[in-house]
Amino acid sequence: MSYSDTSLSAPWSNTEKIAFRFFFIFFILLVVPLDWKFYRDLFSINWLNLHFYDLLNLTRYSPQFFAEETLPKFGIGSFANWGIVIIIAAIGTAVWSFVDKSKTEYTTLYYWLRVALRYRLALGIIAYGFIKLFPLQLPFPSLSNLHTNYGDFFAWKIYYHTHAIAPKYVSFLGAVEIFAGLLILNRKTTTFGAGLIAGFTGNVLAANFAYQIGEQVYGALLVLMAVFLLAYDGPRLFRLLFLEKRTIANKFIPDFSEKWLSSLRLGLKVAAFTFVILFGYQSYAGYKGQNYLIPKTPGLAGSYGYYNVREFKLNNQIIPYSLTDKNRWQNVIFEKWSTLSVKVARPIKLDMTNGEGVHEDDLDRNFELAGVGGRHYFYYHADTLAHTLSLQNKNLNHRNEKLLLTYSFPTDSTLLLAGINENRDSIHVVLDKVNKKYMMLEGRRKPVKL
Amino acid sequence: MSLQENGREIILDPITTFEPASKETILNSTTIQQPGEWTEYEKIAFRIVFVFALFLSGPTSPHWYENLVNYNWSHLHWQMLYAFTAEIGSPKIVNISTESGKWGLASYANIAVLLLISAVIGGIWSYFDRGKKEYRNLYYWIRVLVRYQVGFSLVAWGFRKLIPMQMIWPPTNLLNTALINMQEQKLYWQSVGIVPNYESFLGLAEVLAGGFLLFRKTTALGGALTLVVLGNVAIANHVYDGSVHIPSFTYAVLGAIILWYDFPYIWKLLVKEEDVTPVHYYPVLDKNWQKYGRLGLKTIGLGIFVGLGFYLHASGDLKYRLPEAVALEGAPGYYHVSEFKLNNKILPYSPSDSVRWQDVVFEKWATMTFKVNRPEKIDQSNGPAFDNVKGGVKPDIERGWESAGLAGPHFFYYKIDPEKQILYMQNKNPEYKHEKQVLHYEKVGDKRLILSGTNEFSDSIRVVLDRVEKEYPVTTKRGGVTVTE
Repeated sequence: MSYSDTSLSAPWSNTEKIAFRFFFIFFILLVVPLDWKFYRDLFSINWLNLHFYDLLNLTRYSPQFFAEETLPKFGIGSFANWGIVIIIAAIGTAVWSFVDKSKTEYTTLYYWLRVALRYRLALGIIAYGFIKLFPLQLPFPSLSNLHTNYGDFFAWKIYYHTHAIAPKYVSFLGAVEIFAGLLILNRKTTTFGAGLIAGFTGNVLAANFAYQIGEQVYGALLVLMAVFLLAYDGPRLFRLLFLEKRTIANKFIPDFSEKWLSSLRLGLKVAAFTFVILFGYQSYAGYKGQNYLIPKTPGLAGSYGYYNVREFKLNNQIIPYSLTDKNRWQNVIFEKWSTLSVKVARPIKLDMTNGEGVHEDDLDRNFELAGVGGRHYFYYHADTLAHTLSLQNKNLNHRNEKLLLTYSFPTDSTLLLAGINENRDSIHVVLDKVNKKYMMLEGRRKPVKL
Repeated sequence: MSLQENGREIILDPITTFEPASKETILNSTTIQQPGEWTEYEKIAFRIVFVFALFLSGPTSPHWYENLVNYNWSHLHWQMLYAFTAEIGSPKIVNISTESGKWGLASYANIAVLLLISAVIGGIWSYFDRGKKEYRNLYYWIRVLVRYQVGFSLVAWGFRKLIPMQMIWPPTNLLNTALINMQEQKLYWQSVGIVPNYESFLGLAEVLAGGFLLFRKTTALGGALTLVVLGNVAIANHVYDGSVHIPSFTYAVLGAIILWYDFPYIWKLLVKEEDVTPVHYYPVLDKNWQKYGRLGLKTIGLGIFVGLGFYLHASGDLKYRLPEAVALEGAPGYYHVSEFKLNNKILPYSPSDSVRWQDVVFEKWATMTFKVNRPEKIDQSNGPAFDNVKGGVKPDIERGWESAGLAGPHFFYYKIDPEKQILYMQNKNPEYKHEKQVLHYEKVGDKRLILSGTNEFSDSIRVVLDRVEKEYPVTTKRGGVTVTE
């Protein structure tokens, strides 16, 4: 590697050299997939039946000296892996500074570090952009979630749903991320892209801390990379705009005339764009198909809706409407998929996860109940010949709750359920479908009476 | 690295000075005058944009003069900052009353008309001012106007979030209302209200964007921040029907106009990778009255709109959106309705009953809510707390934020007669102001409250309320609540 302008070999100060060595080791450890687990994941991907989530996982790589699950979810402890990286980088810097005393500057190495960071950051941000452009990460709130009180959500879920009710806005945000990612893939527009990412992802990072979403470590890595990339042109912009003085442009023009260098360059570019296109296609396919967070089995035909529990019998005894009875159901929701949720005054031990991840079994697809109370969520298997529903509570803390019910539709809007509940008691339930207008769906553009 | 120049050490940045720096380069500071004429195209474009920016930022709105004349100076309130900065420009020339005129594309008609008028005026100006070679002086001054108008407005907007008061901590009645019963815009604002630290962070972004515009050297940065921050606010307002997309859009446009000045330099330096010698025109203000006049105006402007503005926000009422009167002592909380008698007859609980209360809430201020299965016309406004005619904050009962855009709870404002133990209640919804209740209250123990008297339909009621202590995940640290009812 050589470069066009010999004046670039001006010596750096000691502080600059030491700082560079530190950041070089620090970022290379965080960015280059050196952890064997990355290759385990890479080679366990089924490329014939590719899922965008496999690729998303690859873009989220960071070394795990401690497995993520063993670390605290929030607070400074969640950054433990960074702590190790910082210690290694500090020791490495000391050794490097001792061994490499004669070196006067690292202009070329600095260039390569920025190349690594640009590609790493671009792929990370574009991947997140695509799953927003095609709103996969933030599916529209389920009917059960819509019928849950505001106070019963954790803040992170409110943040998710507030975005999810506006899919067009989510798409716009995704487009901004993809645009910023493409800007930093192009060397000369890197500063614009890095500026956009620093602002955009910086805001997302602040939201991660505020709403306790739990992605603060990865978010901080993205922001840190963007800020480091900004630091290259930062002094130039400061001189031009703040000092209003003559400013010398970047003179480092990489020379790729050597054959192996130009091949490497071409190879990297092709690989990056192949990944972007592949990821874009996969997320589009994921969007057109069934959302990975939502159970895939369709719900019982004609059942979708919100039902008032007009009559409830427990062991043949009618229990009147009650907001406090531990057994008496208040209302029931049938989702478009095979989930049924019940409002009943019985405590719920909350699912504290984010509900993120790909689960093969519908029972395990827990996004709809993650971070929210208020309702009990059951997966059901419908036997449409025998007219039975076998229910199981989806919440890991209440999986032992199983119900076996028969169903019938005396009219289009009435549904009868009868059988045994989770306590082996017999229940008999009459459900009336409620057809009402709702504030959120009516909007504020016209007068409404609700 | 460093160079010695006239015995003075000059620190040079290692990155920006790879090229051997000539003496001229080092000594070159701001150039005061730039020779050369503008092209015809530049001149015509400038004239149009000048008039347009004057319309948007200058004192061109009649509304602004009304504020100036009518303002109640004895009651200094931070609302004044908006009245005199944000509402200065954009005179309303057309107002389209269709749905699109308020929410959609047609709502931009007024801005389009202003641009059209600017083009006409710019055309006439071009005809009469053919001899003019450049407009550097006017360009400087219009930038000063826009910078200060947008800067002061954004700083004021930012203060209201920096000191979290624009988006409020969720009221208890809202915590007990389902998502589907909320307006989208309500959900959007409330999602910020539940995280006051984040609200402060967002406010800081606006304060910085505006603050950078107030100083010549940070103007480009301020312009860029204004463009992206307010551009995003404009789009979010469209998506959630937040109704303030036009002012946000206007500021984003003004941010772009500001950035336009420096952008060619930035592009040349970073994308074309050519060295740049920036040339700026600054008027020479060397007479004493000019120097002191500038200093004085700047000091007064910053003093009022930043210094006084901050003081008024910091010392102001954080809960200006909510009634000032405090709740019945010991009452605040969420209640189950254990018994409800209508004209001495017990009504059992039923979700379909149109008279029998459920889900009663006493807020920490003088608001009581209950739910019944009886639809009300929804207050579709933003529930403004300010009296735009008289200035200042509205009386308690008209502070509609808590009830606007929310279906389900019926909102009653109340006054307390502690002697007779009576609550005089009135429906807060502007459409149902005639609904009044007079209820005697009796506290039984710590948690029970018995209300009896006449309801809004002059029927006699007796209600036994039992307070339920609830913890809400949304207002608790994640993991703080693990079990909910």
